[in-house]
Amino acid sequence: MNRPQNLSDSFFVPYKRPPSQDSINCFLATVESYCQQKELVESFDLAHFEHEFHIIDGANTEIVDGIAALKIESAWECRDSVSMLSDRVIRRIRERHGLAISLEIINDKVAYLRRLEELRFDAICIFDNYLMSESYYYKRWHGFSVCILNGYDPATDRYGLLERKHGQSFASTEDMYQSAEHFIETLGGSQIFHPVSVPVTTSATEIELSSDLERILESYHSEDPGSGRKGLQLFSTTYPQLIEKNTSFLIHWSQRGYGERYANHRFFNALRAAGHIAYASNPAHWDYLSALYKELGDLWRSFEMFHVYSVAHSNPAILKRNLPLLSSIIAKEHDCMVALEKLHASI
Amino acid sequence: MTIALIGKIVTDNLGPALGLAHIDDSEDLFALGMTSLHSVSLMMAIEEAFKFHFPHTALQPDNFESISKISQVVEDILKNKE
Repeated sequence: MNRPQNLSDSFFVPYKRPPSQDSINCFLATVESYCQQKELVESFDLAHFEHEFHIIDGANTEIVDGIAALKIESAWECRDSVSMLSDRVIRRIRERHGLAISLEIINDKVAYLRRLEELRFDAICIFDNYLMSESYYYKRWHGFSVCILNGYDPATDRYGLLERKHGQSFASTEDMYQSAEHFIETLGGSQIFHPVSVPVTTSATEIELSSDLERILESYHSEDPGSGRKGLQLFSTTYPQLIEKNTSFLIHWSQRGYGERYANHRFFNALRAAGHIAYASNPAHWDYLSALYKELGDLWRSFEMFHVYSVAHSNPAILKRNLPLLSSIIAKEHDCMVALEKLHASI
Repeated sequence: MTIALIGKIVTDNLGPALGLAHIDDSEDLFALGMTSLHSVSLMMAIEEAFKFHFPHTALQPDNFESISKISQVVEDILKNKE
């Protein structure tokens, strides 16, 4: 992806560690990659220990314009960039990794591109997937994508955009204007994120686990039919009915299933490497939990991949392959909660 | 034999998308830029060529990270079929 393919590619900065699949979500995968390139952080491994599952409109079997009416949500409700930046995970990135993220909103398309030029086409910005030819959203739906702008080639009028789902993509000035116009209309402005180093205030060994475990376990055992264990059961009941419709579709935010499980795998590994006291008290159980999160990440990722493929290739039949995957997901999610309960009892 | 055919399938499927004429057997395909979408297309092409379906337990991204890893997984599946 980052190898120069012709002379003009020298305008685009190659990233040694492009936005990763085993990151929390698309936004933080992009920010993490950008900050690694600038040597602002090594990783965001200590920031994420979240494992809530919520299903919104979980009994709804409608598929509207290729998207299921039901939605998967985690604890992190990414309504908009402003609320997203005040989330617990972002606070922890600041406290544990010494990185603060601020937001610049520009409500004029010409000023927006001028600002990107001032930043020497080196920034974290947003782009509309509708205009991204590499995307399965291309000319189908508008989408919000947080990208690294990694250069501009004036000879070919190409802006380089790098993000997790679609890798290295390119956009013309006209595309950039259209994207900015879309966000100015729908969000009130187009956005640029600015990371900045701040002092670390919490070290890995000081991380307190009890409150996170209590929150996660409480959510899993919630009486709310759309949350935790009951939410997963509802999802496994509704999902086969969606498959029977023989229509390709996406489920909003299903990629967070794998991102968040992989991020927890990284969290457990990072605390082990730091010699956290909870690891020292039961290393075998800790390693078991870390491995479970890796397996869960893989399962959710395969699940999401089939959705993307079904839409990109208009192949609804492939979604049947998700049925055994979903059974494994439900079983492993439960195993994981049992293991977290055991961890909670031991600390 | 298997690794040569897998190498050809991988290069035919990913080469044009990633702008690569050759991919080494041990190269990390995700690091080269293989996306989720590419990996399912690749999986389908392998299934078509070898006339089997990957069991859902084999659908782990790690199993698709390089030509050699894919070949190993395919050989295991073929062995179990016999």
